[in-house]
Amino acid sequence: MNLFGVMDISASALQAERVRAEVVAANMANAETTRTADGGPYRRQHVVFQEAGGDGFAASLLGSGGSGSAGLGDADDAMLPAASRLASGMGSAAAPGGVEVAGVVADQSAPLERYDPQHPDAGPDGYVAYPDIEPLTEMVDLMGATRSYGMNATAVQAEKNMVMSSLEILK
Amino acid sequence: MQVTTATSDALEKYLDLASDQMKLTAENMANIDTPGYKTQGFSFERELSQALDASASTQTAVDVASVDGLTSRPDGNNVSMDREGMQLAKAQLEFRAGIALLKSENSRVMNAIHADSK
Amino acid sequence: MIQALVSGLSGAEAQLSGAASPIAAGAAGAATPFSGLFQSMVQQTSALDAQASTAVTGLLSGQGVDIHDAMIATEKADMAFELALQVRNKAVAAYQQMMGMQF
Repeated sequence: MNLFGVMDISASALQAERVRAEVVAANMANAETTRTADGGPYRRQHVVFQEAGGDGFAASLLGSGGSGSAGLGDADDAMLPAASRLASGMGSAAAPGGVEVAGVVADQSAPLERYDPQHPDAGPDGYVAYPDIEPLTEMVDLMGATRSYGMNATAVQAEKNMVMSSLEILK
Repeated sequence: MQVTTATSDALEKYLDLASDQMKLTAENMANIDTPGYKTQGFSFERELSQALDASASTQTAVDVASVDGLTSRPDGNNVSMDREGMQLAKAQLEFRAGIALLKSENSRVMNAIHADSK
Repeated sequence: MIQALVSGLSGAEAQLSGAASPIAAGAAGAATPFSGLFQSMVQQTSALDAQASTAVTGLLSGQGVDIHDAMIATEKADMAFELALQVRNKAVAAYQQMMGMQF
């Protein structure tokens, strides 16, 4: 794997972190959504990361590396539109050693119940089911995603710098 | 006849190792949020001395292993942003230093070759 | 193109060794013939040039060749070629100088 392949690894991280940020944004936007297409309240989405290409990275580092054959893992049908775009758009395998979104899964825990008989979505007992989304948790997650994104963007800069400086050998 | 000096051979291996270090650091950085991922690293000095001792033709593989002494977060990931940032800067500078030294070495040899030319 | 230049060098070398052998035979038992030395130089230049070609092709086709490896291989081939060229020039100049001597 050459230095350009390293940019693919950092690029995969940038993509994955962006998906994470989008998921957080969707969660925050739908914090009060009581009604969804398949009935019931909105369920909090989680992103699951996994290392692409498994342990093929150490082998690919040492010269003749085959490209990792990892595609996207199986995702539930609770996948966000953004993540499914990612799945279909990424026709080629993720860079070995990079990161990929294994899936966007919906939280299966029980929703928050609030008593409000006047609400149009109230159940027979007068309780409305709301998504159990904590704004603080989502904000912390977003900050983490932002920081990781910035770090990997710096890595791309550094890699680009290295390639540029190697051009000076021939000057 | 040899156009390369011992120094430029050593610098070549140094550049290879610096670029390997960069690749590994990029992988660690990319997996900073992956649950259960352990930081991968290798000992630069050990690999360099190994590469310099071994004969020119044999290409020994870089020994990549999990790095000790890092604390794991609850999700099993032990990648430290600070360590990786420092490794990134170090690898970059090592690479650039290697290139500059190689350039000066090569220009010395070229000067010797062209010594009598006008 | 480099291949053509290297073969040009070999041609010059063959000519030179052909002309130099009567002189060398005249000299009292020359231990290391110059032609042998020059032959090995040309071979090594050719080998380094082939290596550089492989490296650059590998880089361009996106296989595992690092950019600095390709650069270094190209630089080595350049230096070897320059060296062989300068040696040829000097040898030809020396030969011509000797030929111009009045006995």
